[in-house]
Amino acid sequence: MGLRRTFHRRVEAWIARRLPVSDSVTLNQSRIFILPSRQGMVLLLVAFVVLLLAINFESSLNYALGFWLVAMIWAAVHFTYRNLSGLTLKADRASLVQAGEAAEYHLKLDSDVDRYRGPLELIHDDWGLVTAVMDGEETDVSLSRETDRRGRHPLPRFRLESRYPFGLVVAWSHVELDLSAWAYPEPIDQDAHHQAGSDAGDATDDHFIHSGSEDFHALREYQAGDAMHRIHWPSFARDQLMVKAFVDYQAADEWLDWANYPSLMGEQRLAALSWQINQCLADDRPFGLRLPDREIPPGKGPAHTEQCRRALAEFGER
Amino acid sequence: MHDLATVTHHLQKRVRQVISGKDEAVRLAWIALLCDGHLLLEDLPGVGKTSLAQTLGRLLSMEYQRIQFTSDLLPADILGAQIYSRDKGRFDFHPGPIFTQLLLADELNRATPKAQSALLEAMEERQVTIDGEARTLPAPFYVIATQNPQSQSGTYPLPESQLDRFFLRISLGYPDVNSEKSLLKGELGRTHLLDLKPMLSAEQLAFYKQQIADVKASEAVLDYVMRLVHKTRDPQVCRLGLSPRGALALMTASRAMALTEGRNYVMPDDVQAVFPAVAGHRIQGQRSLDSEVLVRQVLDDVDVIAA
Amino acid sequence: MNHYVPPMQRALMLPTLKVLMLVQWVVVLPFLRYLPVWLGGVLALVMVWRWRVMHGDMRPAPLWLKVVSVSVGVAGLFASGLTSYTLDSAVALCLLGYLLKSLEVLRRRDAIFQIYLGFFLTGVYLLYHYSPLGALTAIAMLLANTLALHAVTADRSFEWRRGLKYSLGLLGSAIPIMVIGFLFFPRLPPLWTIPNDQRGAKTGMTDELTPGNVANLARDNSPAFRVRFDGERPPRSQWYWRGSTLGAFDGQSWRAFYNEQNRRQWPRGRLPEPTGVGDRYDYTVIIEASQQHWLYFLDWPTSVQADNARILPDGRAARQESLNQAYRYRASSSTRVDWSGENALDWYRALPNSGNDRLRAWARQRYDAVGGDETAFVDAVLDTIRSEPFFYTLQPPLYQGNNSISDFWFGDRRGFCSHYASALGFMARAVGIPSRLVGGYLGGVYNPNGDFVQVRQMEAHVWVELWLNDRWVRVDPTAAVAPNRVELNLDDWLGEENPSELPMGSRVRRGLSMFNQAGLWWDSMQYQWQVLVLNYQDDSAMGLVESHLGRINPWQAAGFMAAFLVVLGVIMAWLTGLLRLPRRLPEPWASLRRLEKRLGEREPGETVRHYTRRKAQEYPDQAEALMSVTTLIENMAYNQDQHSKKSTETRLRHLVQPIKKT
Repeated sequence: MGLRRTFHRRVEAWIARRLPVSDSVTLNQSRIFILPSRQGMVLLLVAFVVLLLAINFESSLNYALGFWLVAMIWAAVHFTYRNLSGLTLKADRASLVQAGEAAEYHLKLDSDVDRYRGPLELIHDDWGLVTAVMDGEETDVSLSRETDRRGRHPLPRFRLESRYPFGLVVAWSHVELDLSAWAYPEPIDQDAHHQAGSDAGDATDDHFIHSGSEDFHALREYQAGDAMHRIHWPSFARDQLMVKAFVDYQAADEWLDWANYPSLMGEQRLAALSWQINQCLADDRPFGLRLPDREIPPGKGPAHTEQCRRALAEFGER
Repeated sequence: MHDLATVTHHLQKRVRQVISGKDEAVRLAWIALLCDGHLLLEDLPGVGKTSLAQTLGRLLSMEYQRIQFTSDLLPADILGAQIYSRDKGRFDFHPGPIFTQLLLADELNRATPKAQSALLEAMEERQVTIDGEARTLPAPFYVIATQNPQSQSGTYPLPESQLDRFFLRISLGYPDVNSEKSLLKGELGRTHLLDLKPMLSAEQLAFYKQQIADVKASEAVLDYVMRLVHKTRDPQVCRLGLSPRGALALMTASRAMALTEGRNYVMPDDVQAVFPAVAGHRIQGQRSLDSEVLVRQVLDDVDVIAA
Repeated sequence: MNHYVPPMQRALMLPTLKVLMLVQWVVVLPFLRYLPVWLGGVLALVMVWRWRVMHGDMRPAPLWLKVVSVSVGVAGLFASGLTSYTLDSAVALCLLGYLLKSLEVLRRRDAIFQIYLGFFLTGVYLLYHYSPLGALTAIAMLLANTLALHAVTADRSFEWRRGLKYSLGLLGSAIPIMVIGFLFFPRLPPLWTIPNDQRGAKTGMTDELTPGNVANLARDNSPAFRVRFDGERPPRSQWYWRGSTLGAFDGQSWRAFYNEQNRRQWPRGRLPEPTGVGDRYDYTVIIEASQQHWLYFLDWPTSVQADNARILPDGRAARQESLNQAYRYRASSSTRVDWSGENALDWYRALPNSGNDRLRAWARQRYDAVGGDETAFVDAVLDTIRSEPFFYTLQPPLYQGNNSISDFWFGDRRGFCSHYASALGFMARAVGIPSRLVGGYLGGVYNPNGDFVQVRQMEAHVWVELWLNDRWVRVDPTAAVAPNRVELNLDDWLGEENPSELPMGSRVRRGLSMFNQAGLWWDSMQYQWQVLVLNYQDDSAMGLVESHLGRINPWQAAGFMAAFLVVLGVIMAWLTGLLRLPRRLPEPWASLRRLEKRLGEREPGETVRHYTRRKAQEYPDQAEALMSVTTLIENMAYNQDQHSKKSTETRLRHLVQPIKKT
């Protein structure tokens, strides 16, 4: 058993060495393995029986038929090899999901030649079998896989296989792409008393003011280097050189803060923050996220939500 | 006219009157100028960065300006601005120090990103836009920027995309014992700068520049360069690999290197000589490796000759 | 979540099932002629079942249906008389299995089984049909099964056009390897024999001749054999093709001394070959499969070069195995043979004690009338045939019983070659002259396209040999009754004398000369087919193999096969890049590699210059040589202006030569 495991590890190490990880893989002869399938071996047996017919009944044409069958297996190697050869798999994107849901990995299959490659089978225990039919130069595949915990879920090394067009030989490659899906924590409603202070009482109507470019705010003295288009010409007429100053406004926001849950363990805090995000979304309130290593200023909208959730997913993993 | 190898030799000799013991750095700086590229000098204060820039400017008879970057530097301080002239009652354009042939941007990383990017954009486009009006910079236009090591406090590190615009990055390092001794004796230094006579005219420089394109690069060398470039793109080695622009710079610099060695064909030795300067600031290791170590590792791992 | 189903266990899709059904038809149709009619019923049952499956009833056939159909099928085979262990019954069983198997074709594995059986049946079909048309049919079967294989693999993405393209592509690209295998694989002797191997009926002359059965042959237009002469052809009147010698007479029929039944008692060992004393002819014969043992020769054979064949003492040649394939051999004949070794004359005088008594008495009387002169007696008998109203016809009345020859001679006097030959042979024995009948062919058609003589079954003929003046003399009584028959082929002769007796095919062919031309062309093509394909024997390769290994046994055959596959596999591995052959390095890298071997490895990141500089420090007395080598290598590798490359390479090698560790 130990010996076998050692052997297995050796093989894995060899494969890993031979096929390093990157976000795009082009299959070439150093990556494609090809062997006659069991079906092909049986055809070889049939060819052998036909040759026996030829020998035993002195049937010349059966020699031809027998060797034809053998040569067919041989020729099928090229047909099947062509299916994988020159194929490029690119990591496209992977989804951000709640822990426990299925994450999706999107791959792009790319080829420099416009060739029908038959059904390509992407095989892994986690998703069983996904078939991609490649007719032309590009196609998309998505693989889905259950996430069991918060954090990073790299796309596992899977087997890409083709038996097309005759099933006599099987060509395969082990593909590992640098592509990870992320799972943010499953939201859990933590009791209010876990919170160190209530945000609700602190909410103010104050406006955050940044100097910016959205709204006119006031006039100020000209300084060398101010842009010409900002000069306030009416005051110029009064022989004053004034410049328009602008500001951006922002509403008062809620901060979802890691520090608000001192009594909880790490993962639970994240789950609580995840729940808080959901609450804010439900009320359509803007929110910011504060984690020990990261701070996301308050905001709204799907991109912001995703950024926050992603921060929760990535916490401690990067 | 002398060939480039001789010229290089003379140039090094002359520079030695001001800064000694830095022949290789001088050669690389010279190569950057030959290739129309900007130079980034990364080193501690006081090792002769400014002297080097000034010397080069003088030897090549180029107009020279210097900007000391500070955290309160505004873009207008670099580019210039329309300034209201009260006597004339109109706006006049006051060109900034950038309107020169050789610009020394001292301690570039002390300035805010806004000021940095004003310079970097000018470097790339060789023109500046002020209040909607495009103004062309003089030709040739070179920037020699100096940068303090990233670890020093009060610095804004240059973004990766900006770093790519510098053709070469070199560091001078402390002078060796003899050079420093001569410096202390007063045999060296900026005082001698005024004694230097211009060596090359703009036309002569242009003549040498155009030779670079004719330097041959055999398949074997191109393959080697490609192997190097690919190695830097290997995610297990580098987080950020050499961009195509970087690869092109590597090849151009190698060509120039070959010329300064008096050859009209490139050898892997040339590539190796310029690689640290070309790649050092463009690639980043997967672990926080010192870029010099990373570059050395890449050079050691990639076989010079195809297996 | 899709669970991974191994390919062999995947269920078949509707388009695939349709293809499989079609392919089943393609495979079974060519066999239909040979099968008992009720197998058609099985086919119908299977098709109905398939129809149900294709229309959604994807259930395996219930057990009872399988049991019933298998037992009914096997019973049917027995009922049709296919009881013994013969090829025919094996084929019928195989077909039954092929049909019944499709009752349960639901998954890919079953489909593959059906297809592979289809490949095997294609091979079986070729045992029966080896003409160009048969080969074409087999190719169609092969293509159909390949298409089915593709359909099974392509599954739901199957398309007819693409499938056909792939299948033709596969078959086409396999042809070169197939041809190589066909040409170079040694032809091995049979590993075992199947008793009563009867593919098709026996044709040609038989071991046994009862007057009357030759007439059937006369209606058969198919070729019996083809002959190509090395030099000049003998005159047309000499085209007597000798087959079996029938020396034993039991009162009704003539039999060969050496026949199928007493094969084990045939003379063994090396038999002396007859010595030719007349004009010699060398020729090559390709004989169609006759399921018999003997080979045909121009009268009289002197030597034969064929596997396991010999010339028996009664002047005919036979092969140990029966001819179940078209077979080619070389032989030589002579117009006259030295018969001094004949020692069985008494056998040729033997007659039953009774029967045909009237003819016996008539012969005795004639013999006495010419004063016991044997030659004169034969002339007298032939004269009788000429002068009396004897008729040559292919539709004689039936003469039966112990006095059948007598009935013919004194009764209707209508008959053909075997009747006349039988009568003459009988009369000769009655007066004590040793006699025997020879079955063979007379005449043939010369085909100028292919330069060969084609002899058809309808040219079958029987004549007599009599022992006169201490040698066997050929006497053909047919020449007496129908003198032109010797010069003309049977259909030509009939066309002139008695067109109504012509077989149908000949009548059509005679009517249209265009057909005649096309016929000649077709014959010629078949001849080439037989020469090039059916009887391909790589004599030299075989000779080489046999001279090294002696006779080939099955193990060696398997060894050959394995070796062939290994060679193919290695080529395949090389082409797909699994196997890399060591490449010869070009200069200057080869010289650099040599240096490295002698002085130590170069680090990967080291340039040539760094390397040689390092080595020059290690071995200072080589420094100078190393420096010049370096310059040269760098120049060659990186400065492409190098003219006279060859001389530079030589110079480099010379420079590298003396560098050693010191």
